[in-house]
Amino acid sequence: MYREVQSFFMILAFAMLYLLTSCNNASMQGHIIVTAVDNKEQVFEFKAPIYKGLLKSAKLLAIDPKSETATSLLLTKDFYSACSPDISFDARKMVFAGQKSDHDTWQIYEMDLSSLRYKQLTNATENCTDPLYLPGEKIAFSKASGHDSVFKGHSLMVIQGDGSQPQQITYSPGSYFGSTLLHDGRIITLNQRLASGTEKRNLMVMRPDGTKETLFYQSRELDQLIATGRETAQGQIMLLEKSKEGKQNLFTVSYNNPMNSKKHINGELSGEILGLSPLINENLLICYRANENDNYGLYELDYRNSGGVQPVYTDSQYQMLDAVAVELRNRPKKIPSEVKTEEETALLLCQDINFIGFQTDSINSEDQRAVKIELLGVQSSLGVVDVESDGSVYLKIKADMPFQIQTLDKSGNIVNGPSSWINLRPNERRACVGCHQGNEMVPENRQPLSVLKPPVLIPQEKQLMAKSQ
Amino acid sequence: MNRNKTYIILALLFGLGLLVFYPGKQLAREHVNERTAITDHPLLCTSCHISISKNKLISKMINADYYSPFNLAVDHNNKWLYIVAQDRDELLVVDLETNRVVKNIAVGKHPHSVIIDQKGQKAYVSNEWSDNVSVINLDSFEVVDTISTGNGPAGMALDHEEKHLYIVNCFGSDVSLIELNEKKEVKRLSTGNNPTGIALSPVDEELLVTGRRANIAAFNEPLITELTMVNTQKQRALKINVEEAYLMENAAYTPSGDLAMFTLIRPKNQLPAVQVESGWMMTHGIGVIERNKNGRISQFLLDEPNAYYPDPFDIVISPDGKRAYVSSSGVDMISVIAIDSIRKMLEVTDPQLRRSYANNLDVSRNFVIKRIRTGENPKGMALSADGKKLYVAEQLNDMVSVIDTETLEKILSIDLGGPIRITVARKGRRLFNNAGHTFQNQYSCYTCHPDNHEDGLIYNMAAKGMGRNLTNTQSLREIGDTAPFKWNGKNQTVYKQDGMRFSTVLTRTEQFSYADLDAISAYIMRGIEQPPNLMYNPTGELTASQERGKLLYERTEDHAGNLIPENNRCVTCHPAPFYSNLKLADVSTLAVSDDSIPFDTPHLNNVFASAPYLHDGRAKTLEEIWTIYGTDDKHGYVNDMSKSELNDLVNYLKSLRSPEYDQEAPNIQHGSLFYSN
Repeated sequence: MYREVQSFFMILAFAMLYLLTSCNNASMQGHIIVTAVDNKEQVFEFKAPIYKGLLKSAKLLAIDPKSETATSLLLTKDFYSACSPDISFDARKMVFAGQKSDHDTWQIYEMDLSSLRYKQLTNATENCTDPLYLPGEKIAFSKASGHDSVFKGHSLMVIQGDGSQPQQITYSPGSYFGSTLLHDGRIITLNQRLASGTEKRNLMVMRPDGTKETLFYQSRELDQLIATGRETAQGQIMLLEKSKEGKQNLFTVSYNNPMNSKKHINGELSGEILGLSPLINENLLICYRANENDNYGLYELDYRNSGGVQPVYTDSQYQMLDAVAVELRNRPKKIPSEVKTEEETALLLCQDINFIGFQTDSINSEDQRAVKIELLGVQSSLGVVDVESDGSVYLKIKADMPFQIQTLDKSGNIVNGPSSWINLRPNERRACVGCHQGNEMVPENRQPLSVLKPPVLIPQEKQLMAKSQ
Repeated sequence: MNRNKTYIILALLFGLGLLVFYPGKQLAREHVNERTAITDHPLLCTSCHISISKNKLISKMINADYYSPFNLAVDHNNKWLYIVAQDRDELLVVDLETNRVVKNIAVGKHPHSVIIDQKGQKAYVSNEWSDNVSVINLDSFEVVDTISTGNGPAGMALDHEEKHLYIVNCFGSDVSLIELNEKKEVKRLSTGNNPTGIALSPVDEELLVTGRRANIAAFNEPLITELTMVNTQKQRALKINVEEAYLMENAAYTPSGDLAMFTLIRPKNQLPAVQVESGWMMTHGIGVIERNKNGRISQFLLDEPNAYYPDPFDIVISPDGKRAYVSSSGVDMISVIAIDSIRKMLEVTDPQLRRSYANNLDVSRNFVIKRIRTGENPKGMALSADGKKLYVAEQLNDMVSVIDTETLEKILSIDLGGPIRITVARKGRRLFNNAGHTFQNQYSCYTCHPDNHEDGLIYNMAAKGMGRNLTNTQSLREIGDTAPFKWNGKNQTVYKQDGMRFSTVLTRTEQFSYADLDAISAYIMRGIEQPPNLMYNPTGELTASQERGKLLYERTEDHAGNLIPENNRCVTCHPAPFYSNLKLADVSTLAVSDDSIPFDTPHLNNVFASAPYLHDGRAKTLEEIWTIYGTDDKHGYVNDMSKSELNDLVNYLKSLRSPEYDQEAPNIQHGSLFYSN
């Protein structure tokens, strides 16, 4: 009996030893993962005004900034090119976009940061990039979609952690890229409307199932958003923007009120920034060069106090384009989804189509009041709907079908619009205060008359549309 | 015993264990799945069988007696701090030199507020569940008198000569005027619905009394809650409508008296509850009365576009009139307001622009200069006489925060000496009162269930289509044994009620962890007590009218001697102790906008306090249930009754109180299983 007990404890001891040893090897915490290229021409591609994001022969390097002889470890030696790393909340894994050879389609890969083993998560026919860990073992990424002039761009996709169940979550024309996650569990993403003929980028926010998409931050008229950083623990979101004169502005907006909290944090910076990523210590990691002749290196910006910038790592061989620290961080909230893919429609309620923010009586005169709305699809009108006397309208709309809204007066003249593209997900129920509302106005506590009737189906039958008009 | 025998015995025991374990585990799994309506809740028997146990011994073992500081007052020399410990029925005296509790003074049941006189000689404590005020000698720290009040005494104010004490009666919806020489109530003035807060203007001519519940109205009528202005000279009360707001908890005047400010919540109950984004469910703020402009009222939101500050409770104003402090109980924050910025915004001449402040999430950045984090559930506040320190009662932390008003930083926590351990039910109570489990912290459970009750509003929960299935908020007091839940009775347990679907359709953020779900279920099921029904049944002796009503309630024959069908008698569906048979029934109250379903028979304990009535709140009073909405006799047989008999029946219904009076053993417990702190 004694021998059995002895054997049992020996096995237990070995098991504990194994566990302790494996824990020690478990992570690269404290390292920084950098996207780097080895010639300057590629930097211009990275800075291209219309997002390409997929670079030739880019590499992912791991750098230990605490090491006295800081050297870089090449993580993607099996890849022709790799970029856009994102680190899991437990700092044990990394997702990135990669290309095994020059002519391959870019796919999403996941790497275990202790063993450096990786696995391919997507097997798409179009390029995939900008992966992002979501709570609940899911991953979002941007995927090239369509080839016609309207839909060409990148849509957002979501897959399970093992790569299964790919779902497209954005359908509006244009490109969604450079996504990151807010602590409330929503995705913020740069959005460029290609069909609008401008290069204007807005920062949109949506739930991870693509529902409740709305504007999060908008640059001034001629400024262009270039990059987005992750939200800090203090609720600040780092953004990089370029003015029409080509000057870079590094600034923060607060999560609480992003449209009206812009604070410049350029500090001592006089050169050019490419990538930015906040650190747990609330400093900002940037890929930066002070002079045109320098290589882009890795720097830490103390934007809250001195504004001083300290070099973290530079390399004569590489241009550092983008960086992210391997750090434990709080998992954002896991938002439940209201999407039911088996449903074909979604509901939209507008409380008052004549509400366009604060307005005076004269603006809201009877002649200028809208009494109908028209929904415009990509190819044609989807229907014209009379609104109720309180300005409300209640619609049942085909899901995953982008549309714009314009309001019409009693003569059919356009009062307001068309709006930017809107898309509703299957079973989504969305409500808005009015047209072109700011994010700051909340609804009046008043039952909309339109909900006392069944919703109007969109797209309408053609004869019904003619009757309405 | 040789080795082989040992092995055989071990193998047999192992086999027996497997036989018991696997079917047992399967049965347990099925049981837990049935209770929680999910398939992966941990199989932890203690989750229910200890935390919500009604066994007295278990209850005693798992309980903890917290202080739960609710309101406080500081003396004019900054020497003593007096704190109402609501769950201990005590007034705590803190020596501000040592920051220690030096005396616990027993007062009445469920004390609400404390005020002290100018000389610091007397303190008055309102006892909300005893209908009286304790008068305390502050030299001896002893209760020297008890003064009777109206029903539910809450906020209090002394006039400047300290001859009169004004007491707000929250259940009675009136103000008692007490003559302090005689220690007697000399007048009672009617106020708005369910008031608690009161403030005296600096020159003593006016009292402002808040209102919490909105006037009862049809669903699509404007929401109005009344404030009451009392002219102290004429002792007359004037009611003032505040539109689209309710739960106005407390009020304060600026030292110059030009402004009166009060906290408020702006609910969105008439909108289909299809999203939380853009303030679609609840917003929170303050109201400002401009006394030099005919009492014009403006409302300002404290919220921001992506961040909400729910359940504003107290408001205090600095002696220089420059700053106001508002405690937001739902997010453990104090908002510091620059009053001059408010004044500047009030100068706007365009009335539409001024009105738009009430729905604008961007205006708070103009006047909120700091948000200060506190401990759990900040409630009442008091400023030192010099205005340099702000004291904040942290109800669910058993602490008082001290804030330096120059640096606007918290400098100290005064520990009141409550239990260090946090019981499961205490944790549940914290969750109940905190908005962290709704998207962007927009509302807590408490917001729609103030005082663990209901807010008197009807919501469009838009379960299927928008505009359908209106729902009258239900009370959460002592509902642990009244399953099923929801008006449609679809939730057989609180676990299911607050589970996954709750997060998908209501809170719209991450669902409760299982530990949190266990805690909030334990609190809701066993931690919430009904107040005594001192208003209609103070002693248990029914009045003659109530006795007659009881006979009608229990009758089996109509006036013509015909047998009333069993399922059409009041007592069949509404038997004691909960006055519900806990079954579904069709009482012919379906509206056109309702799905065709029977309704869960509601319990009727303290039903007098739960107007409006019926599943969609269409009956403004108990009478209307039959006089307007029960004429077909399908909701009880009543149409042979005279008006007088109906009055008797209603009077009896109003006498119904906590189920503990109709049960052999009381069930209530305030805490439960030890939870690591």
